[in-house]
Amino acid sequence: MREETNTGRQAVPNAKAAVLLALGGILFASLLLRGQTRETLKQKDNGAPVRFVDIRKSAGITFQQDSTQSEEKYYLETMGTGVGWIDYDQDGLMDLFFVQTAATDAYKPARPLRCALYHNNGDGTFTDVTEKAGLGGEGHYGQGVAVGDFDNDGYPDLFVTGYGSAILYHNNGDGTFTDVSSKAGVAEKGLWSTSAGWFDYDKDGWLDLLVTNYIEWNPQNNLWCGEHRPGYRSYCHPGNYRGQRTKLFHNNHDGTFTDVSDIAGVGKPESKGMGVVLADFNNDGWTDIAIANDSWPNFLFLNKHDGTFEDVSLVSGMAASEDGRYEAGMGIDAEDVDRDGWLDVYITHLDFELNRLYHNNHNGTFDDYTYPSGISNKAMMLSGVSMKFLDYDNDGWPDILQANGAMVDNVELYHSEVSYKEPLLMFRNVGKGQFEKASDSLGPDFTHLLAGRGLATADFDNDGDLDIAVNARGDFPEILRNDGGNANHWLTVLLIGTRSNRDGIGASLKLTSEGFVQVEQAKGGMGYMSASDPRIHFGLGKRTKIDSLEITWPSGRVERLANIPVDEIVAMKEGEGIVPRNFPRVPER
Amino acid sequence: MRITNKRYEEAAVLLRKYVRVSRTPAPGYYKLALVERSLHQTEAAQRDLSVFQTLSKNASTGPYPYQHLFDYIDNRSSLTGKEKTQLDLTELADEIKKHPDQPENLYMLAEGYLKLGKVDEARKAIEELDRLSGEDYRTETGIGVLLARYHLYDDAIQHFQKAVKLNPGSDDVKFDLANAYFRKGQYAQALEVIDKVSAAGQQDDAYLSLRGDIQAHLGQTAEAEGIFRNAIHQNPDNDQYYLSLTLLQLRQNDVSSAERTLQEGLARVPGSGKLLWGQGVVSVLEGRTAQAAERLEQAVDLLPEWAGSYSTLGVFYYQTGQIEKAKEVLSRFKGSNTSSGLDVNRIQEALEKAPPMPLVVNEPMPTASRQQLLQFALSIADRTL
Repeated sequence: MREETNTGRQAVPNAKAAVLLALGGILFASLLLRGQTRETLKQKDNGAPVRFVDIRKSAGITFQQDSTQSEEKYYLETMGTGVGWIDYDQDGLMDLFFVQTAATDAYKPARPLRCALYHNNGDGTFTDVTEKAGLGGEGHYGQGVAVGDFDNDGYPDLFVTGYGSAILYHNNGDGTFTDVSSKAGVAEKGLWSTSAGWFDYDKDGWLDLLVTNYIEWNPQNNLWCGEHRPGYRSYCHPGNYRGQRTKLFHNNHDGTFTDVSDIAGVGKPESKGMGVVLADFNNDGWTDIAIANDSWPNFLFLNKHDGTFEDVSLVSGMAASEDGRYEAGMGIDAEDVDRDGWLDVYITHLDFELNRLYHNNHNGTFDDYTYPSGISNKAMMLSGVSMKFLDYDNDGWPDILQANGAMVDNVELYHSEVSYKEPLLMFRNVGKGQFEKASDSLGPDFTHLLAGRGLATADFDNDGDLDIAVNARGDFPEILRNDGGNANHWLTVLLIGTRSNRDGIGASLKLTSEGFVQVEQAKGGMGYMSASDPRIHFGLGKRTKIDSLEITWPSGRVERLANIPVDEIVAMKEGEGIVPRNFPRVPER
Repeated sequence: MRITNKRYEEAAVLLRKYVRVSRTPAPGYYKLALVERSLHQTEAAQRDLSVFQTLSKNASTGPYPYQHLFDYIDNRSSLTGKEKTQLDLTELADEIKKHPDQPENLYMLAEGYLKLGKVDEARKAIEELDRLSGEDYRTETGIGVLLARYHLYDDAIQHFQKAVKLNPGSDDVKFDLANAYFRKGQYAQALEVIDKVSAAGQQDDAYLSLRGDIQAHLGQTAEAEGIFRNAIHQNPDNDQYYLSLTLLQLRQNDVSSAERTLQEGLARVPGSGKLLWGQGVVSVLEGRTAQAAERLEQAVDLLPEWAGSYSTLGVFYYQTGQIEKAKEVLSRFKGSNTSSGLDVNRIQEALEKAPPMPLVVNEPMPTASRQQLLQFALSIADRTL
């Protein structure tokens, strides 16, 4: 026999070394994790015993999401729709808006499909006011929602993303809305918009709009994926379709917007955007953009203070997993999980990938802390879709809430280890950015199986702890009331900008309580196609005194306030401090 | 582990080696770039991120390679290895037409040609690659490694020499150059180059192993033995050192010492395919033919990625008159994922035409056959282990 080819002197040992390198990383991380878990258990604050109770039925919410599922397996059927909390009538109670789909070539529903706006009655019930509000959007295949007061008139407006077009609804202040999409120039005709977020990137005092767009899918290029036998047809992978551009619309202060995507440097030729969070990642006082892309590099655009952004996606370490894979990014949010004063980022992914926590290195770069944080592969078999940071037990450490559910409805035929409907997931922050799974302690309603899609948090009953709304694909939503979170102390702040944009988006809040410092930001976007309570919520644990609250407004004004009450919702007006405002507490039923 | 411990310099060295030998180097380039970022080597990080983007087929500027994932995979799975390579070459050629300035594509094109044995075409692709990126020592190093993998040592040496000129401080490139000289049998040149490796680089396992082998071939057996014994003392779980010492002892016809070394090694690393392979060779020399068959079979099981294990077993069966078993080994090799190498058709032809040989199963092989197998094994080890 003649040996023709050499695989190199080091080929065998090096191949082995490469495997060991990879395995070694995992083993080491596991050991580290074990060590950290022991450590962090010692640090664990007195977490309040919390239960989440689904009050949808008693609240009178009858909305049902329609997935428009058909035999054709149209790609857009997988997406589900978003949910948004909005105090549309400014009565101090968070109302609820559900996004709905529409008929397709392959799916004709028995009755018209409409979005739904529910008014919070302040007694634990909600009333469907969609018709009066004019928010049904019949015929519009809706996807997500972003809430923001784009004209600074004191009433929050709604931007509803969708397949083929998007709708901007102006809040008229009288319980009705007007579709101003065409006039405003944000109709996104022909595009498939998913998430959106409001922010004032140029600090001119008016909210601009960032829209993530998805892929070039249409019924004509819909492919057959999966096995060719009955029941096995499956939804396709986004890799089969070209991505669309991210859009940035600048507010012209007159009810119109200008598409500045290219000038600003965010209109990359392709993206497959699913989620967005708009926040200041490098603490320079200017709002940046982070986008979760589906099987495509995630984006991080840093604000250059001149109306443009620098694309630092790859070098930031956030574009891919730590082993260099572009994962199926969907939900995204930012929060300072270790209280070092810098925002960290969490991104959800499909099953067999990891839901990743990126730790901020304080220099515009991030390290993948999924394993060091204790999250590791504990949710690897769950398809993480949406997520949101929230301090559900008010212990002062932000926790991670994640809605799960496979994209492929018949996934069980292909993988016995995963399922289509999956429970919600809560990772409790036990201190300093160390997480442990807490789902099972939160009551049976919390772990109910569903195909989770849109997810948003709000203190809808104004009792001092954060509640949850989940829009489930093809199902009724869940409205999970937090019972017990307010056993710890808390403070909630509604920002009212004057020189800054009315919503105060872009403001930074530094709260000091008995030596414990928390920094929060008023952010745009967050999660997956959804909009959460805009009020800034601080958990205080057992601390009963707030030493100071320092607010840095987007305008640059810095206000340092003392004598802040605890266990209250307060309204802070730029330049005036705390102003009277009623936030009625909903009595328990 | 190095990254986790923030030992970024060491991580970078390992990752640079990894990306050179890995068949899927994209993740390695990404990790390397992030390590370089941590070391504030911004330019290097950007460059490696660009390589990563290219390798991970970021389609931001290019066409989608397929429109239907499942059909694509189905179609591809029905192709033979050769057909897959040919398809890759066609796709690469198209890609190069559209984007002629991407070195990575030319590198893969050259590799594809080498896989198909088309050396002249590979050289043309490499010339083009040189034109595009020949002033980057990493390109030159990469080309050298590729050529060395296909035994084109003269060509490889030229590229390594150029890489050394471009980056005289790189221990990695000096190591590669010395290794190529060693493979080619130019031991004095190999020693001259490896002497230039920095003091820090001389602590590296691979360096010690190569240096020992070079000195052994230069007749400096005492020095070589000292290196290997010291290396075993320092790192008793590295089977390569035991094997290197064994080969040195076998070259000196000291079979009993070789056997002792292997036993010591197997006591520390019981599942070592390399050491079992060595035991197979020693068993042949000591006339334990049945045991030799057993050990060499185990070596194939444990080192399925090493073509040399199949070669030795095939030669052994051939020499013991077990032609059918030799054919069966060849068939196993063809079914394995082992990257190239053997001229399978020619071997098959030789086995078909093989004259009947006396069957030797339990009794010792003839002395001449034993020596032939030893020389073959030493040659294989020199070139591939």
